[in-house]
Amino acid sequence: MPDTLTSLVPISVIEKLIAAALSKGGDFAEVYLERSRLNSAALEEQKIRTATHSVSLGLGVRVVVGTEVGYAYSDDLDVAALTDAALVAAAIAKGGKPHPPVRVAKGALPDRYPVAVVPDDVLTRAKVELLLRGDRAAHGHDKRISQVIGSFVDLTKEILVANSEGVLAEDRQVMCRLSFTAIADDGKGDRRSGFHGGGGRVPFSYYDQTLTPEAAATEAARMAVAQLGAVSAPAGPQVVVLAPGWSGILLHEAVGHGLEADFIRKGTSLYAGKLGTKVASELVTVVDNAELAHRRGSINIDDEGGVAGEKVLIEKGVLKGYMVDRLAAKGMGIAATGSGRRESYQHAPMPRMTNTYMTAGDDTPEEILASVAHGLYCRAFGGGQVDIANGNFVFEVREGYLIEHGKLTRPVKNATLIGVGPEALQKVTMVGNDFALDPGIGSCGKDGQSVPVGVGMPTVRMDGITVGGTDGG
Amino acid sequence: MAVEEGAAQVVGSLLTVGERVVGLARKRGADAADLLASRSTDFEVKVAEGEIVTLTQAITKGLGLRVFVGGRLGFCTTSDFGDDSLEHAVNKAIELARESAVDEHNGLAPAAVGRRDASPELELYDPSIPALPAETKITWAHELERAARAADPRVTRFRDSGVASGEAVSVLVTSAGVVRTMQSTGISLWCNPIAVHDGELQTEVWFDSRTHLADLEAVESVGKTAGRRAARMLGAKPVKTQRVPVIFEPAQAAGLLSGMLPAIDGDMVHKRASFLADALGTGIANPGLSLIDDPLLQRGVGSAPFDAEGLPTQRRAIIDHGRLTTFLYDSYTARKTGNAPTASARRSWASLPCAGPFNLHVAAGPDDPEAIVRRSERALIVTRGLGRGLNTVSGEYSRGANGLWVEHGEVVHPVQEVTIAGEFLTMLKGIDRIGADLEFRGAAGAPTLRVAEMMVSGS
Repeated sequence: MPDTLTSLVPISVIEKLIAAALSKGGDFAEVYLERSRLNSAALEEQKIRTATHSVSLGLGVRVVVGTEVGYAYSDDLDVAALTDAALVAAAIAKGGKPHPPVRVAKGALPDRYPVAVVPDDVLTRAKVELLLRGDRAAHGHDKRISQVIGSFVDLTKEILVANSEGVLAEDRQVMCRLSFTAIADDGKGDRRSGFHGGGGRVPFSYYDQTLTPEAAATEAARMAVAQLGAVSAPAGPQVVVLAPGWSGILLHEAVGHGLEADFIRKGTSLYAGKLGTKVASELVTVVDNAELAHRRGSINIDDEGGVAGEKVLIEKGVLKGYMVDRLAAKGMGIAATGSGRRESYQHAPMPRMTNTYMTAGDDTPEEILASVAHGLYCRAFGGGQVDIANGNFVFEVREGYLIEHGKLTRPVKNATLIGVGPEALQKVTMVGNDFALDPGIGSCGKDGQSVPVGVGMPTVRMDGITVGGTDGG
Repeated sequence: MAVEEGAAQVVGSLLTVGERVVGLARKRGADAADLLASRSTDFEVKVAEGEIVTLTQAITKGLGLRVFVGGRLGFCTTSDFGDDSLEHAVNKAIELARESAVDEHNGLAPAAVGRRDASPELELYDPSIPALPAETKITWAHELERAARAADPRVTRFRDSGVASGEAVSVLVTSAGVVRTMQSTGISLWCNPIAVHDGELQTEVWFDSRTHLADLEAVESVGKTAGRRAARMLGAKPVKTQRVPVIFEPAQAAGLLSGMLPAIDGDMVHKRASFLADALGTGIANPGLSLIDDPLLQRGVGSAPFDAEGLPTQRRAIIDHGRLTTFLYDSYTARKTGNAPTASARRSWASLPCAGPFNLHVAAGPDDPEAIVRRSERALIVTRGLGRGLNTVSGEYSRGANGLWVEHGEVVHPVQEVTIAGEFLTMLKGIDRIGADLEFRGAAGAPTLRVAEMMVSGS
């Protein structure tokens, strides 16, 4: 085991850095210390192509004056270099009174993702073996699988947050992610890709039972082969049925980002000022929950040292709350929700999602499908994006099928779906009783910062979502 | 964050570390090794509504070591240049190589031995950028916002506006005695205003990014353009689903062509995970279209006289008058596929080399961009895209779009909540107008392009 964070930068030094950060005035100062150990292994052409190891270690200092922020960071943990960083961040405050000395102390924290052995300590050979096993399974699934690309990435991240209000919090955030891409080639020019993977803040043994490499790789192969011979997707508004799980990306884009309190505070989200009003069909309840055990988006504390919890965003169609970091909490006079997250010590935190999902409804997935005469069934998804201001959001269908008279018929080519957040959620007409979370592969980008997130949803029927196909009917 | 060292001194200290680490790797059993080490000084100020959102400053460094042991590859990075960490990095890289498969194509690039420094003629370093005071940049950030407000009274809110600047030094050292050094500067401006009217919000981003201060678009112009573009989107609505010509503004056209990068990566082609796998030497686009990668563009944001493995770079047409002439290779994929390397290896210190372009752009064409619109009976002008667009395995394109609707050669209303879709090869062949207005914003560039027909999905 390497040294603990506090042996690299002792608490007494951290307290001195907070004092230096507030030496020119300022309302609040925070020190964020982080060490990440990242390992990756990549398989291609049935061999392990690369195995890599990266260590990142650094400290960020944030000084807040009103709602203005000074931020500086250093990858040099020498006390002189750290003090320089604190003084650079302090320059945001011009000539206020120095703050009295600060003592920081730890409080009790939850433990939502205990693992006995961190992934950095698992032998590379064991990770490599997962990739080789998956590769064999995918090739064995169908002769038309022409290529399999596998990836195993694990992160062992330790963070320490201390601030001028006396908070001191430490967390160890582990992460594993196994994924496979399979290419199917019919030999006549039709080429389709399939993707599957999973993980989270899980112990390595997760891949013994919960998600075996054979299961993950076979699913990628199945998806690629199933799409051979796909027909053009329809163009224009359609009845769309979304499969459970990963389709929660709809919520992430259509409402999630628009409810991050930095956008609300500045009035740049179309959801600003809509608290208590109806923004979705009454069938829709949306929650952001950092507490789920071992999930990819879960955190014990946010990157500002606050305990992250469960937040109801939309209840039966009515907007109930936002995701709030310290800065927005102060600016808006509301409580922080432990939603301040950052990619690394090189970034100031901002409000972010954790695991965002729609709760289950009453309909069975069979009833939902049977109710559709003509439409599109979306089984697997790629990424998405949203424009916070006008609410336009997109998400990519990676595996879709035509629905004809309540039955899935032909596979359709990849297409983008587009909608406007509140209007789209009014179009939810049926919600399934088959709630599922995604398998644990998602990352969310905002202002150049990427953080791991989870999404979830039951089967949902939406009436009149615009499908970006090429078949004009 | 001690007293700022001179650039030459930084090069010297990175080379010392680099040569030590590569030497140590050889001593510990690597047959060959190479290393990229960098140090950068970065500044960023973001403002919104007259206040500083964040003012960020830092100096960072790091190195990535690649080792070859018996035909196996290992890789390790560290940002800590202390003795113990460097030792750990070398040992870890060698240990990881033992877990990889033997691959006869692994190895260093056949680069000329000896030291080469990026030539001053490329002009990648502007001393006036590091000399620019923080106060000036903060003032500019506020001015961006003022200019956007002045452009239209409905521009009343802001996501953010800002200025980022920095300088970077990087060195490449290999166990074969190849040494390459490079110093560069960069400065960017951006403005992201929101226009508000009757409860409707519309946003736009306008930006510029250069290696030289003198080339940067004026602060006032960036802010004003952003404000004008946000305001003109007010009243946006979907159009009926139909097939129409689609006009891509230069920045959108650059994004459209950059989207096909994974499909021209020699590695993806070799794996047949590209819709262009069998298209080399064939006509894939309108004969008027050329797609160029020019690493030697003077003052170019992506310019470099050598690639990340030390090979000398050169200007090359990827699509030459409609014909696909080459894929991009680093030395490994070139050896594996039996091709000559195209000196296209790119890497940061934190990553392994892989093939990519430097300054990718569409060559300017003959058409007046205003005339392209004027002579379109009916068309969608795409001003912003949402989502990824191209599936580089199947060659299908489908993307969300914001834009402007054209009837009888005139813009009649702004458009949102539509998608544009088509087969990418059909789109490339259907490019029937190429503007004379090639412009770079950052490392990618393009003129205005018109695709004769795409499916626009709307209401």
